Amino acid sequence: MQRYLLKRIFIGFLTMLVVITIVFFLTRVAGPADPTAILLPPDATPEDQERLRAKFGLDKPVMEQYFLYMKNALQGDFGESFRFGEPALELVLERLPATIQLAGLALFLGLSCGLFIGILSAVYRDTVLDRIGRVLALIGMAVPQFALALFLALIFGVMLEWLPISGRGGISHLILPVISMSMVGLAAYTRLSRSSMIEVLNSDYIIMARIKGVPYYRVVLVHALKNSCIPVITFIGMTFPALITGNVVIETIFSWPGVGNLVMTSIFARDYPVVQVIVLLLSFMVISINLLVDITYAYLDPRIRFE
Amino acid sequence: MTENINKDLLLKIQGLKTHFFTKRGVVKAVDGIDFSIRKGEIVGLVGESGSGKSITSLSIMRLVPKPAGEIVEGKILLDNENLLEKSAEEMRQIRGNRISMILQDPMVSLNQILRVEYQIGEVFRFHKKTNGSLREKCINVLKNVKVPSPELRIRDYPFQFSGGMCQRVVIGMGIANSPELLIADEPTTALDVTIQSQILQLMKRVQQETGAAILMITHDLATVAQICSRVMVMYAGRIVEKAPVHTFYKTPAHPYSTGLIKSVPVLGKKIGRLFSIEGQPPSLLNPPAGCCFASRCNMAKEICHSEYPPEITLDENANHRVSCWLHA
Repeated sequence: MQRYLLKRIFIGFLTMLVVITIVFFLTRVAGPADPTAILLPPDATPEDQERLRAKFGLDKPVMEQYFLYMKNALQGDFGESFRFGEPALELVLERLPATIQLAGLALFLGLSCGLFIGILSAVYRDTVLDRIGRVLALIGMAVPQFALALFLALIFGVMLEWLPISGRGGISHLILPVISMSMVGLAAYTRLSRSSMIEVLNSDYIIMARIKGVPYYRVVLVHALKNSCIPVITFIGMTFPALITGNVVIETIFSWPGVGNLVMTSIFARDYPVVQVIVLLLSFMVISINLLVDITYAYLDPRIRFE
Repeated sequence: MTENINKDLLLKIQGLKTHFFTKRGVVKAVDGIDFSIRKGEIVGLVGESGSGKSITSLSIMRLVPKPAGEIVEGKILLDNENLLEKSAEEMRQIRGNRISMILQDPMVSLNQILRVEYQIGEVFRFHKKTNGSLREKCINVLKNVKVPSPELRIRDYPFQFSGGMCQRVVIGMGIANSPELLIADEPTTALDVTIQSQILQLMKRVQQETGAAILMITHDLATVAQICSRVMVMYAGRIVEKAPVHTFYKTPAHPYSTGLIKSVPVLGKKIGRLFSIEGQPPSLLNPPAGCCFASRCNMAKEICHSEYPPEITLDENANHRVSCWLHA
């Protein structure tokens, strides 16, 4: 297990190196515009522009820029934001708690409600309860996240004026963004846990447990839940990137002062150092979540542990 | 005399019908069966796949797969108490306690991700019989079915056991609370031939020690010959013949029984091509009128195709009965 973990961490590190290289060249080589053109006022002279390019190190050949960046990055220096002049890493880390709060709550809400509805649907299969659950899940899958967010903002924010629709503050600020962000996951987890639970409930060891006289609720909670959770847990790792993408959309719609919002404005402003740090951070999160999923998986299924 | 028989009687099934209500129609998996099992007796229930053997046993446990399956008619009397009138909780207390069951494939009838100790412990935990520590009792269960070094193996997971050892664990769980009736649904089908006879020996020993009656469901006539005293033949959801084992092998009455016995290969005897019963069992979705075996029977008369035969007693003392027009 330990060797396996070390191997995974090493591979994760390599992946991040690859990611940062790709993002570096994407922004610089494939990027359409010169950041200095956007940052300077329209009446700036070409000399001003040259001076700014030199300040950011953009006048050097791309390969040289790359090696310099990598050298600094490995020492923990990710450069300064073109726009704010602050260290890019600090700028991003400042925004991180807001994003973790939003994404974490959305993941938690989606997963817990999804599991709950899915399991109820499976246990009370083909009843009215199951039909309602299935229809809700279908709607949740079908409605695009941005549409749901705008719809909720319109109804509860603009028309009823019950909830704020922008910025970060108390709990009331969280409600709309968390609900709009968790809905896709909730629907997916509902469907997945339902089908997984139905499969498990039909297996021989469930009949065996009932033959022993174990009460049905215990059969579901002890025998079936753990087994049916295995595919659901795997799914978290797979859908986490989608959660991050959704986060960018939702944060922009609700002006949530998080990383997703920052990445959008930074891309428009050609603020390369900030974009790079954010992408690096997100890939770090995706990699660690997947590692965490694998560890949970081994914990749930002893067959993996003993391999 | 009658009183004596009644005292011995453990399980009596009367007119049991278990049907499955599917989108394509009603599947009559079990369609009116009667039989009884005396205390401490080993009875074989034979028949091919899909003849309704397993559904019969699940009906007795009241664990017919829902919502499609339903017991629509009949009585299941355990010591003169109708199990079909029991509440869910009363039924739960009977399961694993007074009636127990062993499933076909031991590798899938144990939960692979829970320790063996926990799974055995469940047999005790949910029935009010507590003396001694749970762990000791679990170790005793394994000892009883001859699993080597039970103190260590109890901490293992089922996937660390071989198939034969798993079946020993399942049998151990089945008899842990000394049930009055043990239903064994093809307990040796999924096992190697060498392990099969070990498991049968084990079941025979267990039966002698605990005095439990065993309903042995199988499609293997060799198993029946080895341990059963009586045999019932099931075909298309009905029992077509009931007989003591020796009578059954010597003078089978139903053409289907004759076919079954003829299709067993005999070691050292050269008979050329092995006998097989022509045709397929009928669909239970739209069973034919009359005897279900008629279309495969080379002795079928006209009436066989139009009316289901009554149960005919061939030998009252031996309790040899058959449902066939040939004997009417």
